[in-house]
Amino acid sequence: MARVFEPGTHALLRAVLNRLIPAGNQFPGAGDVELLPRLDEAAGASPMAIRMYVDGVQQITLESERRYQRRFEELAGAEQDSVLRAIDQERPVFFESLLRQVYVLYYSQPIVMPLLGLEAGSPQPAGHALPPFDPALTRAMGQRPPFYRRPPQ
Amino acid sequence: MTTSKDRVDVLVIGAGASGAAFTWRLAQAGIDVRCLEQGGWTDPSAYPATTPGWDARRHTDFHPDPNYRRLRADYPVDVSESPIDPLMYNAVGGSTIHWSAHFPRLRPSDFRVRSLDGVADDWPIRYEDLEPYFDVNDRMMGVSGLAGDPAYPAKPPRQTVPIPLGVLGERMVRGFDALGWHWWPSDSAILTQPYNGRAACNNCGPCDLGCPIGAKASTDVTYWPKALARGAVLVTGARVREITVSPTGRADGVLYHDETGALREQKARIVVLACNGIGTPRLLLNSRSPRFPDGLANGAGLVGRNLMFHPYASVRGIFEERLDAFKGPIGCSIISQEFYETDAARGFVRGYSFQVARGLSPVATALGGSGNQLIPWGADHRRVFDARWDHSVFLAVIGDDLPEAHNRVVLDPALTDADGIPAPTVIYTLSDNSRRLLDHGIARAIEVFRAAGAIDVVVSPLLRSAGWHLMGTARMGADPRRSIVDADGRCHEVPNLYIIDGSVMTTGGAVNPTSTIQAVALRIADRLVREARNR
Repeated sequence: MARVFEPGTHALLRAVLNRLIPAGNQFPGAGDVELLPRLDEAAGASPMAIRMYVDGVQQITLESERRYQRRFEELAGAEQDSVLRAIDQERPVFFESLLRQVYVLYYSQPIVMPLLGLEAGSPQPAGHALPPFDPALTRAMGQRPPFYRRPPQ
Repeated sequence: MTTSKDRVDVLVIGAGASGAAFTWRLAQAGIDVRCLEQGGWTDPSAYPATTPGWDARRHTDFHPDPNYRRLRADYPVDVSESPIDPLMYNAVGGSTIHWSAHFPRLRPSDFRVRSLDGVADDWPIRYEDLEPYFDVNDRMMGVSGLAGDPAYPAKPPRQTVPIPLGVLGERMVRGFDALGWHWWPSDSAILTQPYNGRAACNNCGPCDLGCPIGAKASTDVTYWPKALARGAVLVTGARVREITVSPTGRADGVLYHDETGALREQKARIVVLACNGIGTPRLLLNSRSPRFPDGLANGAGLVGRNLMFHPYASVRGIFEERLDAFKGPIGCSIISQEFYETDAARGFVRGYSFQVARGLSPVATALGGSGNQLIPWGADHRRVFDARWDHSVFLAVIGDDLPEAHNRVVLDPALTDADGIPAPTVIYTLSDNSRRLLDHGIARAIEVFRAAGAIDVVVSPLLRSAGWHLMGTARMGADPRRSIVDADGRCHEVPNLYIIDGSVMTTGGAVNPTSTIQAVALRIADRLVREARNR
């Protein structure tokens, strides 16, 4: 793997993901579920995307060093957030792309789906049970006279 | 280049909603008909709803936008001059593969907006002319719903009972009833009971990702099996480059690329376009010849003009309780047409529908739905997500989009598809009338959510990723100076060239157009069959 993200950046990426979607209310943080291989795949979609992601991750490292003289993964939560807010300001296209990818990958994870009340696998073949439509609901509206305009012939 | 030795009687380009219906009708009448489709057959057993990680595929290979999906069958569309992105799917079944199957008809007034409201143009046909074809189409597609809607002339009983409303739908009914506003269970091209050899819907949810059980009426499972059984020929992986013309100015066939990219020729006595409101003008504009230097059938300079999308606004109501909002067909529950017709006091002409859909999927909830308002990252993420997931209802305001000549499809000077065929650029501006109309709809939507008990609302004033309805770019009319085709879909300038897709819609109404597009296609087919019999 490691098409885009070198193994040396994985700890940093996991820390970033855990700030974007932190653990809580029984949900794991985004850095604690196995998103990196698929994130790597998405980041490698085109040469332009690869450049953007590589540069963006490097910028997170540089911004952490510049502000706090420490690696991103060593910072306190509030410090990490301030770094990410700065990246959002300076590299909005990268940051929004990263955030979208993380949301897409996290909320389609089989480990997350059951926490939402959904099947871990897929909606088919089980589907969902719903009570049938109740025609009594239309009783009042069904009494309303037709109200469409009929054009002159 | 390979030239097919046989000259077919009728050659249809595009196997989507209209192409399928049209081909079936001709094949049923014993006419020699062949269809070329740039995509292939999709495999329902491989649709995303059958696989883990299904929700992510709406953002990758099953994205409704060809610019994101980028499959071999797709062509790019330059949208840099449009606030709305056109959506489509290129395969047997066309965009019915990923549509949500909300299936209302245009209303009688939609065909006479010039006479009634002094705007745009009247269609050269009336609602009554289409009524028998609406009914045939309903039987072929299979429609769930309930007769008796006061917003429409009487319709025959629907094929199956309405889609279950669930907690969500019944909540919204309460809101509409409290305000005394019209609502009715949607006509949906989704079966709630077995019909015509197809299974009933099991409420799995994501209809827009293809229906693995065939309960949703995509034309690959409705019209095509019947058309093929009657002798129609369907060629997949066939991307038409241009329509060729004879020295006398009649269409005489097409040049197309097969799936290897090789250029082939197919001769035909009649050529029929069913490529949607973007693909059809693209093909006409790409069909230049000394006789038609600006593109085929474009003597009046109208090909590609008058593009209509139906601008969408959305309002999401947030409720305190869980709504089972992921259960049931994603786009269908109830419709309201309380504000459909012109009322001068509102400050705009024409009107809009409310389409009450279901909740958003988990990924869509995080991404803020079509409104693209991402929920916050960081410490507040979990709280906001949990408040919205399965607690929200999506209500779309679908505006009547009046034709304006400056809204148009043109050829891009640089962009091409995989076969090197020039791609389209879409140029579109939202009109002041549409803006006022949508704002009115947003305000009323907020009212209905309050009446239904919502604790909060999220408004998206104009949805970008919502160009589901592609209409008007080869409009129908009696006057060749103001239209491309006549009432029978025949091009004024090229008498053996027909257009049957959403391009021909003179106006768009304020409802999803597929039911009307298919009825128009069936009517045109019927006229052609009668003509063939009288020959």
